[in-house]
This record gives sequence, C-alpha cells and structure tokens, in this order.
Amino acid sequence: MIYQTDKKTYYYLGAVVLLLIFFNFFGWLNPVKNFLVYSLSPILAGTNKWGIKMGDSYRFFNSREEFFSAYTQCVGDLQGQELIKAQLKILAEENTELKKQLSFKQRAKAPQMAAEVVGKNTDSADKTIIINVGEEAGLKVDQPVVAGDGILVGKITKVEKQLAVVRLISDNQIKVAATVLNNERSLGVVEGGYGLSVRMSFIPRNEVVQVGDQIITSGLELNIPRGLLIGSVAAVENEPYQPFQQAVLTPAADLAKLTLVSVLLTN
Amino acid sequence: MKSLAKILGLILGVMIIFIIHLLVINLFPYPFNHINTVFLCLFWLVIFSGQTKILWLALPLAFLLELFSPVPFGVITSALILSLAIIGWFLFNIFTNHSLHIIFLSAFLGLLLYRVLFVLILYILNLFKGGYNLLLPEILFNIFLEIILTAGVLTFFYFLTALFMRRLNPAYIRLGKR
Repeated sequence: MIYQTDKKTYYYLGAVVLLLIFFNFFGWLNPVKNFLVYSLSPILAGTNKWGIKMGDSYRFFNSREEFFSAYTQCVGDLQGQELIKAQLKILAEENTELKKQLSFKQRAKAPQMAAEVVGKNTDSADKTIIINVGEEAGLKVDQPVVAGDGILVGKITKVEKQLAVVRLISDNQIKVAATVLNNERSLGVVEGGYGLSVRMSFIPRNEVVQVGDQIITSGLELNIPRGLLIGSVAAVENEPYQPFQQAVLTPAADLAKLTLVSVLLTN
Repeated sequence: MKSLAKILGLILGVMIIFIIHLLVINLFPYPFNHINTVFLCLFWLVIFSGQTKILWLALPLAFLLELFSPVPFGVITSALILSLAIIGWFLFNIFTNHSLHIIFLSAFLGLLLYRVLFVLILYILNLFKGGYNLLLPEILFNIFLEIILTAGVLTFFYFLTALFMRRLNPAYIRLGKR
C-alpha cells in the first residue's frame, strides 16, 4: 500500500486550523459553536442519562459469597419494588432533588440558576460535567455549582452561550478554600486529583482533625460563600516531617451521578 | 449530485464517530471508558485508506470535541491533527511492515505523541495564561490507560479485519498476492 503523501493537504489543513483559532479568538465562530451545541445537547444528555442508569448495572465481585449475597439481596429488592413504575421513581427523585434545592435556595443569599447535567468530560484528562445553561442565564467563570441541599460539587470553568463546563471538586485543577467543622475550625485547601476522593491540604499540624468531621467552604475565596458542604474526613495524614497535615475526604455528593445542579450566581 | 452525497456521507461519518465516542465514555465501565474512539477511528482510516486526505476528517471531529472540553480552543485540534499526520507518515514510510506488533506500536506511539503534544501545547499556553497543572500522577495514569486500551482495541480490530481482507494482511503483501 502506498501512502499518498500530499504536502498540499498538510499546508491547507494547517492554514484552516490557524484560521479557526484566529476566528475563535475574535468570537466569529460563536454562531457555529452555538448551533452545534444546541443541536448536540440532546444527544449528549441522552447518552449521559443512559450512562448513569447503566452505571448501576456494572458490578464486580471479589468472591462467590459476595456474588450470592448480592444476588439474594437483589431478589429481595425486586420483590419489594415490583409495583413501582420506573417513571414514577425518576419523577420522585427529581422532586426530592428540586425540593432540596428549593430549601437551599430559600436559605441562600445569592441568587441561583438550576441546571440539568447534559454530559460529562469528553476527554480523560479532566473531570468535568456539562450543564445546559450558560452565559445567557448569567453564568460566569468561577461561580460555585451545588447539588442537593447546598453540597458543593464544582466550579464553572468555561461558559458558552447556552451551556457551561463545570470542573468537579475531584478534578486535579480545582482548589477550594475550606474549613473543618472541628473545635478549632481548621482552615485548609481542598484539592482534587486523587481518584474518587478529594484531599484537604495545609491544615495546621497542631489542630485536631478526626475521621467523620465535616468540611465546608470557608468563605475566604472570592465567589464561594461560606457554609457549602464539601464532604467528610475519611482519613487523616499527620506526618512529623511535614509542616502541615492532610485529610482525605469523601465528597458529600456522588459526583458520577449528578443530574440536577444549581449554580450560585455570586459574581 | 455525487459530491453532495459524498459531503452528506462525510457529515454522517463524523456524527457516527462522535456519537460512538460519547457512548464509549458514558456507557462503558472503568477503565474501558478511557478508550479514545475518535483517535481509534481516525488512525484506522489512515491505515485503511493510506491517504493524507483522511486527515481532513480529524478537523470536524476535533472541533466537536473542543465544544465540550474545558481546555482552550485549538489544543485538541492541533494535537490530534499533528499526531495523526506524523504517525501516518511513519506508518507508511518507516513502519512499513504492517504486522500486529507494528500496528500496536504505531497506535501506542501515535496516542503518546497526541498526549505529549496536548500537554506541551497546554504547558505553552500556561506560560502566557496560567491555570493548568497537568503533570500529576493521576493524569499520567489515565493517559497510560487510554493509550494501552486504545492501541489494544485497534490491534484487535486490525487482526480481525486482516483475517478477512487481503489488503491489510501482511502475509499476502509478502507473497505478492495482492
């Protein structure tokens, strides 16, 4: 097989790529991008919802006993749930989520914008989700995104006209100023990039942090109000040779199954 | 009429590859959701067609990926097109023995190059703009998974196709039975 190396293709392709970057820089590509985002959002949302449903179907077992135990439990559950219609269940879940968000909305000082999660990261280098509201709804970069009753799940990292990309708290790029709800109200920085868990660093070594302590946002960061729940301490690492101690956190929300979120329009 | 059908076919092809990419990301369990379907399909088309023109397909696909990615516009497009162009040239000028090992190695190197370029461009942008810190162990592990799985799947498909198509079977090339 002979590879038809056509130098013209390289030149034209390079020129087109440079032109696209140039056009994008000046915002001339926005109508095309908005049209594509608008057209592709339903597909993205569909695959995401399907993925969340299927995510519960994947189970891996370490032993036969574990499998049989899960099977027995499954049969029991099935008998109890035969009468429940799938659609009703989804509506009930949505209703609970919205009630939680409404309760939080009434308490929160900043205005909010509810959004549906329509997709997740298309690249394995990032942990992000895509929501169906954008610049038109008043969203801006760095605004906090919460789920349920005020649980911080991430920050807005990119805003288009009708959608926005949210960087989750488990992403390696994110840093959030946080407080431990212990006696000393220890301050630190919550960082992602550690698989399913997140980590809180820069906690002074002399302060007592225990497993189970809750972590909230400290309010010391611009745009992020105090009191948003981040998670709870799963393990504490206090090494004598380190100037600070660290805590491994379990996020309060299941970041893989987000369907409805709210953006706090803080700035 | 013929060119219109060709354009429609191309749009359909791009959409199908993009939807498969979304399905793999959303529906496959970990770690199989790290398979880079877009790169896999494009690399496959480069091998199968043996033409530089196929690189044009990378442009709309990369554009679609850019729409839903948090990285600055142009990073994915530049990295994807450059890596495909370089590995395509290598595949048909240096790694000319299209055995399974060579296909695996080429896919491995192609994806590695894609990710190196991706990180490099981000690093350069970071010098001007700031805000990215990609060289963390988890990112490297995810990239490793992506490269191994994608190259593995591609080699498997190549093996299956070579069984039925003489065009891709090195045994026929060696015996001059094409």
